[in-house]
Amino acid sequence: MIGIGIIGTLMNTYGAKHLPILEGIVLIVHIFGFFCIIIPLWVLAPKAPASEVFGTFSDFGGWSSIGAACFVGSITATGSFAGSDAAVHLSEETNDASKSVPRMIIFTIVLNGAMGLVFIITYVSQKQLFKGLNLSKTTSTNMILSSASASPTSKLSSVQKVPFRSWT
Amino acid sequence: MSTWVALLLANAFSLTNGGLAGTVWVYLATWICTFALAASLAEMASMAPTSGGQYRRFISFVLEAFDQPLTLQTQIGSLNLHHVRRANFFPTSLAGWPRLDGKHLLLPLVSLRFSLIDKSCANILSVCSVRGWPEAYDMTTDITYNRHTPLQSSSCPWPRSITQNMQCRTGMNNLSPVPPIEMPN
Repeated sequence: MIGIGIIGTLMNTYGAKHLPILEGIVLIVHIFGFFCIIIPLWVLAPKAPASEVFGTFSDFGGWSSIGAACFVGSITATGSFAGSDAAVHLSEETNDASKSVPRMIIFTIVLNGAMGLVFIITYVSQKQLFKGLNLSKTTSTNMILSSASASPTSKLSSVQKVPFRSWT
Repeated sequence: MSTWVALLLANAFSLTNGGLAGTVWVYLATWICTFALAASLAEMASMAPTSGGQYRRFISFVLEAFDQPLTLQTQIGSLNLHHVRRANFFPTSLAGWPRLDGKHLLLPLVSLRFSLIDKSCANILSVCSVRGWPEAYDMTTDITYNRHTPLQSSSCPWPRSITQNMQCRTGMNNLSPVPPIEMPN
């Protein structure tokens, strides 16, 4: 964090002319770092089966239903999309802003969303991560469908206190 | 935007609440919804590409029946825009003071105080105090506008649609061909 602060201060104070070069370098790191992380994961790491990855919902927070837990957990996805409006704030320094700024906003969402989707599926499919979760407290898709007819307040009895294991 | 980096850093929330499948499907739904959000934002940014644009776009789109309470919601910036234009409030000339009642007297004071904090709105206030609203502000951003007509306050009836609201409140008519630029006196 100190390094980022120093780089930001120096670049904005002395190197504002070279800011496009720094932006390009950061873009290259952003794209290539993505492949540098997911290619070893694809090649080397053992995979969990897809039925378990795409069908295993869990509720470690003790919410009343899986749906509520998913809404609480959406803070991760929402936070990862923060900053998509940043191009608007530069619109007065942009050539042909009423065309290029909306294009940049849409392109940012599409590109970063696709990269994030590939990355989150890759990350979630790791077998070690799957082992690290406490499977006795997780809920499969069949259990969700079967509990849909049950009383919605039946799960409100007590807050589950499950020690969430760390995975590495 | 650093989507996959943020996913790597902050996925403990969604893995705890939702699990593996919840992480994937919630991410997919969030992507679609954020795309709709960004498409709306991109359309508004195409209409009025200004750096302080969220306050300006808000006061352009909101219906007049709701702009008093909703302006309070977007407290800092649009308070300035609303009262600079509606109450003809200029900080240097104090042109609009006789027309202000108690409610309108309080809010410009608050907005003047906030404008010292908010950089962009302080900039707007300084522009308005020199040249008048809104022609001067439109002139400063005229390089980014494709279409520009000065605001005519007499021809602004109760708005009946979003498009009409946008036209009469900003003076920009997106549906007409490009008019010649009229410079204010």
